[in-house]
Amino acid sequence: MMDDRAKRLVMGLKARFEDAVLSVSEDSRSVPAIKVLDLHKRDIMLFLRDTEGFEFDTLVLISGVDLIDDDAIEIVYRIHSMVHRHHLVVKVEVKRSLRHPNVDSIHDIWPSANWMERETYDMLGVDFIGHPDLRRLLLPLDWVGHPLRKDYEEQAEYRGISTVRD
Amino acid sequence: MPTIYNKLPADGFSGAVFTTVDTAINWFRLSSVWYLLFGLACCAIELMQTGGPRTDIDRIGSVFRATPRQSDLIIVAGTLTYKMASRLKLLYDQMAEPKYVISMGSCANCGGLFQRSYSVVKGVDKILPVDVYVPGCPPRPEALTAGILKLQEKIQKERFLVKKA
Repeated sequence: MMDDRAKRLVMGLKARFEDAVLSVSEDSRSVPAIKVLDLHKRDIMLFLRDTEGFEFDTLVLISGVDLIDDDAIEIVYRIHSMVHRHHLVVKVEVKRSLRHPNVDSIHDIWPSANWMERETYDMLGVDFIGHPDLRRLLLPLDWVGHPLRKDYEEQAEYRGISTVRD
Repeated sequence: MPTIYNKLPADGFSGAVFTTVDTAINWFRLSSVWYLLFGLACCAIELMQTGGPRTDIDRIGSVFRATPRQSDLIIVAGTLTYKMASRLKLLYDQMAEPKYVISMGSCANCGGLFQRSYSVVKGVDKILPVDVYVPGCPPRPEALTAGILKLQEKIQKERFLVKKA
């Protein structure tokens, strides 16, 4: 169950952004997880970072979930506040069947988003609009495909090295 | 090992050993197999220990070098990814002949635990010609020493000076 502090956070956010908040749930550690509209994501992030009482100064994680059955990729942002010691998870859904599923980049809000967005692009193929240097982070730059997608198929060979042990 | 022909004089050992040039050259070469440090993952820890004080491969002549230019042997210790594969090939090409490769551990032998992964090369022999495979996850220092001794046996059998029939 969410404790009172977490509930107050969610209330405060909902009061300010009524239409943008789609749903509220919680993860296994009772951290509130809020699903928001993509359009208002940047405003919400700036609000969370700059407002007194919220002051989320640390971005901990950007990750993605491939929901192939719902034709969506869910981008998950996990933010912490060092000042107040509270946490929040913000989720945004992107349409998967687009040729280039995209979201706005938040690298100018929290600089650590730079590499996290590159990793999400590398693994799931989501473009981050406004990112200064969007290229692959973990895989070689000439790799084809995005491995964490559910329909990913390994290529037969990479630069002459066969990918099958025989 | 070279055979010591028994030509000892009656009043004491003269200090001479008689053998063939081939055997002698190979004896000198196998007693000084310097290896390139190429620890990629957990096997690197066991590689370090094999060069450490308890299992000391310096006593069989193998000391580590950080540069491929001064190495005879490259011990690929750990998981090789596709991204690293081109760098490995570059280092191997920089070694001077005659050079040898030991594949240490499951990951280097066949991809190991990560055989189903998209980013792991399924065995270092897809890129380099391997002389000795040392199985294990990770292989104990004794196992790696046995691998190096096996390589030494292989070096002993090489023939450069004899004209091939």
